[in-house]
Amino acid sequence: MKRHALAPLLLAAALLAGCGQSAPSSSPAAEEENATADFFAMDTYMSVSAFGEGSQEAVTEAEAEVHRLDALLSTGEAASEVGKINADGGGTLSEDGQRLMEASLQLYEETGGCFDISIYPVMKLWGFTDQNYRVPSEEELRGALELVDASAVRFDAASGEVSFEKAGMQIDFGGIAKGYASSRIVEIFQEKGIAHGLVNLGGNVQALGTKPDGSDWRIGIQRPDETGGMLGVVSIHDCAVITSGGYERYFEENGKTYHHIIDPADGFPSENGLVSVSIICADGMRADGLSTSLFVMGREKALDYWKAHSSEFDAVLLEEDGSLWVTAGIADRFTSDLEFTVVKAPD
Amino acid sequence: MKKKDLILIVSILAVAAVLGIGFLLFGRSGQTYVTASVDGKEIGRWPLAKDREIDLDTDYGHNHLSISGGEAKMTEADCPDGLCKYQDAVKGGDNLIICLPHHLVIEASGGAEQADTDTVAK
Repeated sequence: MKRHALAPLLLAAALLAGCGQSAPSSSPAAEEENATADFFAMDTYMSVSAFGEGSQEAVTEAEAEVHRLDALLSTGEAASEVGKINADGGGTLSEDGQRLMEASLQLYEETGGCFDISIYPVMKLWGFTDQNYRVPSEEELRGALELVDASAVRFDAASGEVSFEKAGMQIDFGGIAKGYASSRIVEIFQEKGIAHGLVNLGGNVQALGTKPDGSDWRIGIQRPDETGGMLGVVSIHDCAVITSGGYERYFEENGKTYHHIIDPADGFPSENGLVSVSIICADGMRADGLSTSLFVMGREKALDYWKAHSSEFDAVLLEEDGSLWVTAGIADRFTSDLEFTVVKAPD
Repeated sequence: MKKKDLILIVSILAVAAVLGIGFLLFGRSGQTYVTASVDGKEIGRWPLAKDREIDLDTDYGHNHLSISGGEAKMTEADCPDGLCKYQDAVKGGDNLIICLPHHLVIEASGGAEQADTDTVAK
């Protein structure tokens, strides 16, 4: 009798399990275990997925790693590594801090100062660090801009020691921290033997391998307007797709909109016609830094920069007049309902 | 046929009927839903096709979600910045409304555009 009473429940369980599948699949890999963790960190919403054996352990470790990095790099926490260095005017960086510093200073050199971690005093003036938004006076900006100069950051890669040539300088790795975190997650997945994974850290996407069925991941790129739609879809594997746009964080004052991507040259939100820049690059940290840098450069300089580094990354650029530019390396893997111009690399 | 077997068959048919109705109502109907999650845990799910007003009161605070004309918009939030009230309405693509202070995420599921991509860079 007991056996009979259980039978309907077992049948129900079997049917329910069948309903849960989104689509029938003949691929053995697709039927393997997978795990996803959704959580808040680094002031944004994150989603981390791994596929295959050991996926639960991998995403648990990935989430812990993001929280660790958040505590290490947060400018708002006086006890964080960056908080202490900013308060003391220098200090010794951890291994993570050293990797971030090396990449930051390299980007500063390569982008002609468009990427500058010493922008932090200006970000504070605008209130982008604590949501107390306001338009600073010219005098305030002039004072803060004197401290914005990554060439005055002294960094000893052997010891990890960092100091500032100008008193009052402060740094923020926020422009590449999420990209570094997604790269670290991919490293953790690889250490755990995970072959397929997808990470979305507040819109910063990085994929490990292909989808479990062997096809490329399809990554939508959000339109910066109010339609909520996409400006295109890019098909990738083993790659990061990172977008910068003024629509991510902004405020309005006296009818004018001020966004959070500040041009280190004048301390004002970058206004050069670009409204969205996506970078497609194997290195998530580099993709993160480049998306901000190219946004600040404007379309012409950004495409010149890409032509000089076309083997390293690709880009999708949208201007406020609707012009869409896609670099040649990604053009055959980019689809859009909008018309776009393919930018060719020099011969 | 024994009485126990009859009970078993009737039970199976009853379960199948319940599941079938559930499947028709909530299953692969192509309908788009909006879901609310706090700390990654779903706290509610509503079809976008039906207008309704929803209070979302959690340990983090109060939000109000308004579903109207096939889209969902955050209309109230007692968080410090209230930024979620200015985010685009959710209407079946892969867009989200996020209230960071309240760890609250509103997202659509089941729309055609979402089914076509794995995630969205923004």
